[in-house]
Amino acid sequence: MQNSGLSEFINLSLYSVLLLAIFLLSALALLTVFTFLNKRDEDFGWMAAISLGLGPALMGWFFTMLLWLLPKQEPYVYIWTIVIICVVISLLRPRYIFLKVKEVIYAHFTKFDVWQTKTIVLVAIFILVLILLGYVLIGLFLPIFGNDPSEYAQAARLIAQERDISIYPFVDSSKFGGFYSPLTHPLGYINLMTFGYMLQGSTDSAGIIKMINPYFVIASVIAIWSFAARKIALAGPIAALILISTPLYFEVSAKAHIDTMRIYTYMVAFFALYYHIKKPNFVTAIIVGLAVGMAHFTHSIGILTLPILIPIYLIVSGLSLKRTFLYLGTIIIIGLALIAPRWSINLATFGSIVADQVKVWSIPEVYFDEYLAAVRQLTTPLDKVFYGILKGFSYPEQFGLSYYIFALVVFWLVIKTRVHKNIKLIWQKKLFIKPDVVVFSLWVLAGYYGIVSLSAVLGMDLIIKNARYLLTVQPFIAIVVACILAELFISSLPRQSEKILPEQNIGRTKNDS
Amino acid sequence: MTARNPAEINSNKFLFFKSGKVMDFIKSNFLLSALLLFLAFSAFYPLVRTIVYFNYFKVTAQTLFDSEEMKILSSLWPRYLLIDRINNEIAKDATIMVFRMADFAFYGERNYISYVDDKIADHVLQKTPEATWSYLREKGITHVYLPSYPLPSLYNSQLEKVLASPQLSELLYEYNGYRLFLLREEKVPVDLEKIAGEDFIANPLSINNWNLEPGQVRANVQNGGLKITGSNSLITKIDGGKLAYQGGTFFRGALYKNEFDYNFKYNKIYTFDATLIGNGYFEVFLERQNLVLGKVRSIIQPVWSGVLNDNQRTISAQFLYSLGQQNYPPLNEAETAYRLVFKLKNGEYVDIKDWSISEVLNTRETPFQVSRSQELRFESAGWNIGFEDQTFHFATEDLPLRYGLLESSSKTVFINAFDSRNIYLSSPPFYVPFVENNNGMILNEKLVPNNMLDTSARPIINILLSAKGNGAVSYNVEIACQGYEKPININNNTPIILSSEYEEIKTSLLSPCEPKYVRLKLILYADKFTIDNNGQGPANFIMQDLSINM
Repeated sequence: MQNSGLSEFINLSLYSVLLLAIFLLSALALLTVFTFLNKRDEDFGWMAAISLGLGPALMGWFFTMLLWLLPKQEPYVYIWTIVIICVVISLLRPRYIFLKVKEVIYAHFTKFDVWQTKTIVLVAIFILVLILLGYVLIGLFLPIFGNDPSEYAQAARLIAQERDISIYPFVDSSKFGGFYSPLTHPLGYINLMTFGYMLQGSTDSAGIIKMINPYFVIASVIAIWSFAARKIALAGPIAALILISTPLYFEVSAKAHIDTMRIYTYMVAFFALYYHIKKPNFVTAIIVGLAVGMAHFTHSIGILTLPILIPIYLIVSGLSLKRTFLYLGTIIIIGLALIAPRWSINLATFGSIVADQVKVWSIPEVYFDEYLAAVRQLTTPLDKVFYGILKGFSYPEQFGLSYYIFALVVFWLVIKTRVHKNIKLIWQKKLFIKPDVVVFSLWVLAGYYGIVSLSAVLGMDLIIKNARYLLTVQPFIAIVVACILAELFISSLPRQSEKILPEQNIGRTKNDS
Repeated sequence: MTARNPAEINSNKFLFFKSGKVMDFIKSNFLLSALLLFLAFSAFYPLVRTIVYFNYFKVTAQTLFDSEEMKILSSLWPRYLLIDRINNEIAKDATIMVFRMADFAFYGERNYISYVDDKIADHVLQKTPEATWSYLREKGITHVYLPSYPLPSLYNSQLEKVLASPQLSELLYEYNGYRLFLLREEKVPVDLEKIAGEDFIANPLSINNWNLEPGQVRANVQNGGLKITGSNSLITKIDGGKLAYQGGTFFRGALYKNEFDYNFKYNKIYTFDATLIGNGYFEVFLERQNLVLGKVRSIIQPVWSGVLNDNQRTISAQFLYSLGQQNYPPLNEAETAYRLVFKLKNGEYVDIKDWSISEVLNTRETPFQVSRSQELRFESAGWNIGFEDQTFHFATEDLPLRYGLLESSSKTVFINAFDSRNIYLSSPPFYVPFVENNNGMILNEKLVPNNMLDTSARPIINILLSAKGNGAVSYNVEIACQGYEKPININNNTPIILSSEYEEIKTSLLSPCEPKYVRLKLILYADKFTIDNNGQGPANFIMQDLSINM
């Protein structure tokens, strides 16, 4: 066992910077493409916000396709191909993008023009930076630990060594020293790790692959801040803080779990959907399709994205049948096209798209289901509700107080909008057609929990057994809480400026005519 | 003249709190203060956990830039301690059946096969322990690696009995429930010594020797057995911040040492068996309680855990009484009390008909085969001699064939040889020239006790060397104890001045613990220095004692 020392650490840091630079380059390239396709200035902000993470995710997809089509090449072939493509695209309009980014950021921060909101934003930024620093330090200084992250890291290591994705999933343990990993997960996260190994030129240690999660945490902060700020500017930093300080979110992100990227891609798919619904057009539908594809491509649970998205789209878009067919069809086709190769392989290998069972667990004498139910407290129907579906409430050590505060603010919202007196009005205008950020988030939550409840009723414990799966919608919990808290706070201030006036009524945003 | 708009006044206030006016500020800006508090509170968990994780890996200013491997294998997690030990001490051609694959795949250096691998899935279908043992041996499996948590394919199959049977398997290492078993090549006879006393056997009087967690369980002796019943309420306590119901703890033994307690022997293997019927998540563990600095410290060692499902069954396990990992001084046996703890969670009852604990006596009938190869490792037995710009001459022709010699580009030389009982360190004298003004060289070695040896007593470390030359020598003995992070260092502070005649340096130390390794560092200050063994013959590493004779 050799101690690598300071020089190795400096090496690691430089490669980490390189990896992050390539991620940023891919984000810039994607944003450049978006701006060519969608020339509306008012869309630049949200496209920039989601490009930060969607860019690297799509880069990972492209890298996977390269590995599939051109296996066994030297690492520099893949790396340079990706870098050159990203550079060429990014050079098309860098000045425009730089100026627009500056403009958007400036415009956003000028909204905080009273000392109270400035104070909150500054304190929130300070705390965000502290927490993000913690993520980065863990990524830089600590090794990979934890069962699942070690498995992904080992899978990526083997792919990087072989430079061939046909070896995945690892169903024949005799080929790789005993490594048996029959994962149906697509390679979205694993192959970013593979890219990291290739970039650092060594698979001896995890090294820079631990910086993938900190990057996606930062990307999540930007994306959720931008989305929540559509409702009230002040909600942006609060939502970001609630998300990344959720205990379980911190744990999975610090341990290089797949969930950080999984949660990000799922979240961004719905953010993109929101932006598309506000101003539906073909280009924004493509963007949604790409984001949906990445949600599929990151984790098997991404398969739930379309079943939740499609009903929401049909309910809230308010489009004609023809346009619905065109746009939703675009989203579905692109979303499925990006995942089709992996799902085909899963079907051929496992007989299903998603699988979470191994032979030994299915042997009746093993009583595996009873074991799971007992250790995860899911034995009785009441258990499944309280410790399963309502994990957000029954596991405060994992979800903090977020669900409790969410319940309180939603209760306050219901009382405030006098739902019981305005059902018809709300039914027609507020909840269904182009809802605001808060109501849209509530729809996403309803969709996800609808599927969770349905699966529990049908006797499937797959989603409710693992708290990490309920973390999928934590961003939307954070958004609802942040928006309502921010609105409460802003409404308590003396009126200072039109720029910080919140939308007083549910269902209207500042941009609504 | 118009009054100033209060808002304008407020807009000039920006994070400025005059002393003594904080409460006024809070009162007049209640929501702001509440929101700021909320934001500050949100930072608490991530920041604390960041510090905790750095502590888990013992990251300090000195270790900040250590390699990932160093950090993970120095961490407080028992599984990584076990993987490190497997990497160092298990034969390279071993195949280990792992019940927790990923860590092992990433950090381990041995072939392995996962328990979920379809190739060996049928092991759970074997009807007897012997059939299971044969099945696994035929698949080429030599060892089994278990985590500390229950696994149904283990406790609901005959594999549990294989790993509970000292005839079929040997428990080699244990770290807080993470265990490595050797599957024996053949079934061997074993003597078991049942731990004395009816104290562990339920009878109507023995209930008085058992303590019950107040309000959590009910227990009574019935039909020759002991029935524990959990609380019936849905929520009985807040456990770790989680609303939960659980049956509680039922334990044997007093808080501190008393006449009912059995003294477990360190590094001895014990078997545990119980016949019971029950429902719920049931755990058995051994708890050691020790008075340290006036405070009772508790170490939990898992013995068995699993989910019961209303079928009468026997549960069995082997456990090794080890120190596991802890960060306080070794236990003073005289001040240690033991408790056998039964814990029922998320269930209704467990009815224990009978149970027993036995000590496994020595089963070894044949000498162990040394399984290490000639490949030399930094931490294996041997001498690591490092120096710069020097030429090292060593007479190799007199060395026995079992010596290995490696000369690396960094001019580091390893010498490594051992058999089943002895480690040989050097033979003929060797001569090391120094350039002028070179102020020293360190002979630096870690001796790892052969894991086959019975070192139940704390060994005596003998150092005997003869040296002559124009210079001085001092030594440092570093002893790393099993399960402790920090080694203990013993020095002679005053260098011994050498002369042209051989000076004998002799010392004996009682090790404070069973050593994981012993490192002797000789620090030499000389411009000419000769070390030989003074005609004593090769150094011997003898059972019970560690002797370094040069």
